This record gives sequence, structure tokens and C-alpha cells, in this order.
Amino acid sequence: MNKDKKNLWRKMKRFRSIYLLMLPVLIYFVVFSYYPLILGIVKSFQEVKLLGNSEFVGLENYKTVFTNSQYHQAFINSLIVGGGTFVFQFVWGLVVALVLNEIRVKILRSAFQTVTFIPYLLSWSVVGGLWITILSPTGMVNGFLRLFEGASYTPVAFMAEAHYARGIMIFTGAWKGAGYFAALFMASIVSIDGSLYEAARIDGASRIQQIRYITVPVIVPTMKVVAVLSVMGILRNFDQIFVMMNATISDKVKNLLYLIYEQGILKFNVGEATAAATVVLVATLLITQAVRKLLHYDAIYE
Amino acid sequence: MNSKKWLTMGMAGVLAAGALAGCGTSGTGTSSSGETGSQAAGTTGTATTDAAKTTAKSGTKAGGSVKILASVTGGKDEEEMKLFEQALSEATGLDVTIDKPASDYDKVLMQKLGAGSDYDLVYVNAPQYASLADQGALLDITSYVKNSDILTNNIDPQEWADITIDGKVYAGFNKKEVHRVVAINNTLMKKAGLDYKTVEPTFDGYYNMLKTLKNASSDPEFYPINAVMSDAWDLQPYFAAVGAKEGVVLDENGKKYAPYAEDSAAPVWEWFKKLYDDGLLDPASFVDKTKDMRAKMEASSQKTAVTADWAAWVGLHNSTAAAAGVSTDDYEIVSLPGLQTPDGKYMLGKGSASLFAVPANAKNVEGAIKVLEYFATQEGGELLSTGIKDHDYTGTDGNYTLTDIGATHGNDHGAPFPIYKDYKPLFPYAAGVEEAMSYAKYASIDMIIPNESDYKEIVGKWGIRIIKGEVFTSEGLQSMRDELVERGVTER
Repeated sequence: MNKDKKNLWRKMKRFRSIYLLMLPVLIYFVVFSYYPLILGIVKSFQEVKLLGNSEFVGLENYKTVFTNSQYHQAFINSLIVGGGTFVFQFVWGLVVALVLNEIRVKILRSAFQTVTFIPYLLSWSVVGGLWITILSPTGMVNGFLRLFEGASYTPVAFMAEAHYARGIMIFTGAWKGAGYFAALFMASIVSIDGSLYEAARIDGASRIQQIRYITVPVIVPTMKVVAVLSVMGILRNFDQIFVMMNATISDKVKNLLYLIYEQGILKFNVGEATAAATVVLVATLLITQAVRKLLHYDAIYE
Repeated sequence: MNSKKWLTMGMAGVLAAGALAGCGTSGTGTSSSGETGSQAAGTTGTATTDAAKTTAKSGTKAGGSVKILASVTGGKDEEEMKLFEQALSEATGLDVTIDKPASDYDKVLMQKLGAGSDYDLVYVNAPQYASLADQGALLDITSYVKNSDILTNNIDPQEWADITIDGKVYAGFNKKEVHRVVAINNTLMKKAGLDYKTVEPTFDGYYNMLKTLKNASSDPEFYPINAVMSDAWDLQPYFAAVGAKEGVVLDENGKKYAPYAEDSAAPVWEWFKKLYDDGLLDPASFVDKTKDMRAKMEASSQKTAVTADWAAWVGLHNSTAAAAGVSTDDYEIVSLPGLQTPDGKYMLGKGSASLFAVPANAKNVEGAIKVLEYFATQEGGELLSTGIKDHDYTGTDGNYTLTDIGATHGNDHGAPFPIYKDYKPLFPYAAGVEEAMSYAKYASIDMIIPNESDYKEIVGKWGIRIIKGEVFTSEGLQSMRDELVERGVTER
């Protein structure tokens, strides 16, 4: 043990200039992430008054969060919409990357990559507004359906249909983010040694076989990293819901972060909001840990 | 657990910490757009003389500096804000500074108060006012109000009654809240052979009007009526038919209940269902926001003919069309007070108060009161509506002209309708506003509740389900009531 400590100290001394370089980053995280985090956790045990002294109320705020049916529903919605978006976006991004890799004409490949990546660059106010218009009774989807069904077609307000709500959120979320995932996968695909494909071709492997036995196995570590980083965000989807939710579909899509916003920002109920946010934090850590185990994440570095 | 595991878990912690440090970037800012541009009709005016102005100079004795956190009040940009501060400082004899966040006002307000920032006045809407008063974050200024001749004499006593919580007042007024009326496209009415003044104020009368409008249009995307159903905004002119008041009211036992959720409101929901089934109610009403509804009403679109909107928006539609060179023969919006109540009257919804509250930690309470007094005078009203003299308008002795800048500001620098009860606008109202304002006598404010957003969500959700036929009316109303009680909005 003492030997280990000695080694550690020696290493730190040896690389002190590098550790010094880390200091600004460390200070940044302490000031802007961990200090608010700790402050938030402290507030979650208080009845917070915006002006004046807050009072410690023990686990009262947590009791509210755990017994209130709104939070239960919001947690379920967060998991379904967040999880669904992650899975769909992951598969979509992978398919786009694999297709991109197969396109041999450079200009076509660039065009395809740009088109799929652009939605990621747009804010949710733009993307949400776009899809609300597309799905409106006078929008593109109803326009197509009218073409097929004729003049007697009654337009559907898709954004007001509760049974489509989660599907729409998952689809639009994946549509926005798939290009980003594809770019991450592509970064890994382009580093694959070309001679592997050449050898496979000589051995008579088809395109599909090359993808299945060369491309996909090589990018598995990247897929694991993307998966772990993404599940951290499953419970943190706010902007999309804020822009696209309406009263008709709120039961199906209102998530934890939106509830936290309502309680904390709109109703100044900071204690309850921070308790719910702490629950989100703990749940995120647990989900991340579970996914890490499931994917044998640490094997990447072995 | 090895170091890599800790690193990953740490990253997860940092990412999730965002939820605690503040949730998202798309918060809402409060806007005065609901009443913007009410007086945009003319660029010359002769309404008042300088001598006739009431000023705050004789009011509360105060000095020093006053710091204001504002959402909609003040200059339109940084440069104009300086001029606004200067004008307000000169008029009150105070050193006034105004912070006006570019966006996310609600979030900024919470952060500033939470951080203990020492503002003397903060802009709040009605639910925020109720929440903050409940938390003890606001100062009781009842005695200041009672001791101020300006605040007691220049403001309608009903306005004070509307913002009194348990006998106490914690704020003064940013502006006078006007009411919402039924706005009607008179050009389409005339084309359909209808005279809006003869429309019978009953379910059948309005149904027939809407049916005739629909039949007269060949546009498949035209729906004669649109309303923002998703947050039950503003259905008051129609619910008047059963005498149901918007929002939450108290019953004879002092218990809160929502009249729209009562069984007696069923005929109105069923009437809306009939409009929907018969293709008269725009199906987009279930998702449309006010800006969508207004866009369908404007001259360039005319995809709908009947909406419920602020009195001022009747004028804004007309003035916008006039500015674009559209004649009144081609586009004219008029207004009606909606359906008649069972006892032959009308019921309209008045905007919930937009206020300047005095935080509990205000350093210059007298100064804050002085500013509130100034806002309640003719001179203060001119600053809050038309704007800064020699910047937004020029002239003296009742002959005024809007500058190019002033013309673009639509007589709105936070209060298109100032709170001073005898306020005389410098410039005439836009076409249609006088008529819409004449219905003010039917309007009343909703009870201030901290969970107004819950009310809107629940009533909107179940109302839409009833209209779409997803639930029976009685079942939908029962569910509406149950959920309102469950979320603490009502008590029965």
C-alpha cells in the first residue's frame, strides 16, 4: 500500500506540469458543476424561500416526489421517450454511417452526410416548430394523406393525438440526433485498415458480409462509448418537450425535467424541484452504471 | 471500482448536475404582446395638453436610487432603455436603473431573487405574485398605498381589490389589463351576407353564423372559428352562455372550484363538439398557440374568421393590414362580447394582473412607491405607452407626432393601456379598439392562483377529449374535476 502511494506521489511529481494544466478545468468543474450540485442537494432538504431563511424539512420534499403520481408518470415518460429516442437514434445513426461508408461518389457522400447532420445543428425551437407544422392539419403529412384518401379526408391534428405522442417525440428526437451519431461512427469506420476489406473481397466476401464481419466488429468499442454517453442524457430531455408538448399529450410526454422546471421556475417551489433533480441525478448514475455492466464497457480499455 | 469507472461516473454526475443547476434554456419570457400596438392607428394626436397632465411630483417624498427588474417595461433596446431610465429619473427625481433580461424572464427572476439581488421593484405576473407573496418574498405595501393620494385616487379601487391577498397588497401596477372579446372578420361576414351586429348571442345564433361563413368559403383549409383549446384560452365569451366564470372561483362555503369543470358547463363543451364534428372548429385549435390563431386571422391569411382575443388585437389586426396597404373593404376586424348569460348579460375575461412588486429586501421602498405613483399618472402613462418625448414622439400642447422610431414601437413601452383611470392617450386608438373597449364593463379578472398553468393544462386536456368525442361529456368533466382536485388547483 505504502509502495503504491509512493509510486503515485512520484508519478504526480514527475508529471506535475501536466497536472497543473488540469487545474483550470478542475476549478471550472468545481465552480460551475459540483458547487451548484452540492447546493442543489442541500436545498432539496429545505423548504426554500427565495428571500429569507430557508428551513430544513428533512425528507419531506423527497416524500412528495416519491408519492406524487405526477412524478411517477413523468419518470415513466422520461424512460420511454428518452430510452426510445436513444435506441432509435443509435440504430438510425449506425445505418446512416454504414450507408455513408458504402457511397463511393465523394460529392454524394458529402451531400448525404450534410443533410443528415444539419438537424443536429438546429435548436429545438426550430426543429420542434418544423415538425409541429409538418404534422398540423394543414401540414405535409395530412397533405399526403389527403392525396391518397381523396377530398373526403378529415385532417388529423397529430400533435393532439395522445397515442401518437411518444412515437412523435421518439422519431423527431432520433431524426435530430441521428446525424451526430453517424458522424461519431464514421470517425471510427474511416480508421479501419483498407487492406482488411481488400483481403475479404479476395476471399469472395459480399458487401453485406464485409459490413457484418469487418465494419461492425471494429466499431463496437465506439458504439459502447456512444451508448454510455447517451444513456446519461436519457432523463435530461427538456427542450424538445418544452417546445413540442401541449395539454392534450402532456400525460404521455411530460417528463421529469419539465416537471422540475414547472415546480422550480414557474412556481418557485425550489425545494421540491431540487429533490426531484437529485432523484434524476441518482437515477442517471444508476442507469449509467447498469448500461456499463451490460455492455462490459471496461473491456474497451483492457 | 477502478479509476476509469470513477471517471465515467463523474462524467455522468457532471451531466446530470445540469438538471440541478438549471433546467434547460428555453424558458418563457413574459410578453406584453397581448396588448401591443393598440394605438397604432395614427401618427398624429391631439388628446391632451401639458397643463392637463397629472404628475407624480406631489406624491410620496423619496430620493436616492431605485433598481427595477423588468420584463416588458422600458426601452426596446439598450440605447432606448437609457433614455427611458433618464426620463423616469427626471420625472421622479430618483436615480432609476432598469434591468430587462433579453429572454427567459421567469428564470432570471427566480435566480435574481434566489441570489438575494437587491431590487426595489420586480415585474411579476399574477401566479408569480401569489407564489412570492405566499413565500414572504414580497413586502406588504398596503399602508403605503393607503397613504398615497395618487395610488388611491388615480387607480380604480377594483384594481386594488383584484390584487389584494388576505387584506394585503404587495405590488403596484405595470398597466391596466384589458379584456378579451370575440374578434370577427367583418369582410368575410359581409361576403357571406351577414351583419355582425345582428348575430343572435346564443349557441344557435353563433352556430348559424359560423355555418354560413363556412358555406360561403371555397377554401378547404378555412375554418370559421379558432380558439386556443390546449390551455382553454380564452373561452369565456362562450362559457358566458351558462354563466360559467373562467378559472377558479369560491363557492358559498369558501371552497375553490372551476366552473368550466362543472356539469352545468356541459352544454358549452357539447356545443364545441358540434362545431368540431361539423367542420366549423379548426382542428388545429387543439395545438395552436395564440400566435398561430392570430396568424390565421390576419389579412394575408384569413384562414379563420372568429377568434377570442385581446381588445387591442382587434386594432392591431386592422392597423397591420392598413400599414400593408390593405383597404377596409378587403379586411376589417370588428368585435362582439360573445354569448349572452342566462340573465341576459355578457361575461368577458380580463387579463390577469401584470405588476411591479416590492421585494422583501428592497432598499428604497419610498423610491419604489414613488415610481409606482408615477406609473399611475397621465405623464407616467404616456411614457409607458407612447414612450419618450422627442424620441418616440414630438410636439407640445396637444399636437403630437410620432417619430419613425415611435411609429415602430406601437405605443407600447410596457403599458399600452396605462393604469391611470382617466388616462387620455396621446394618439387615437386603431380602428376597432374603441368598439372592443366598450365591452369592458362586462369584463372581470380571474382569481389569482399560483397553479394557473395546471388549471389550463387540465381543463384544456379534458375539454379537447370531450370535443373530440374520446370521452363522454359527463365522464370528461368528472375527470377534469378529479384531476383539478388531485393537483391542488380546486377543492371540490
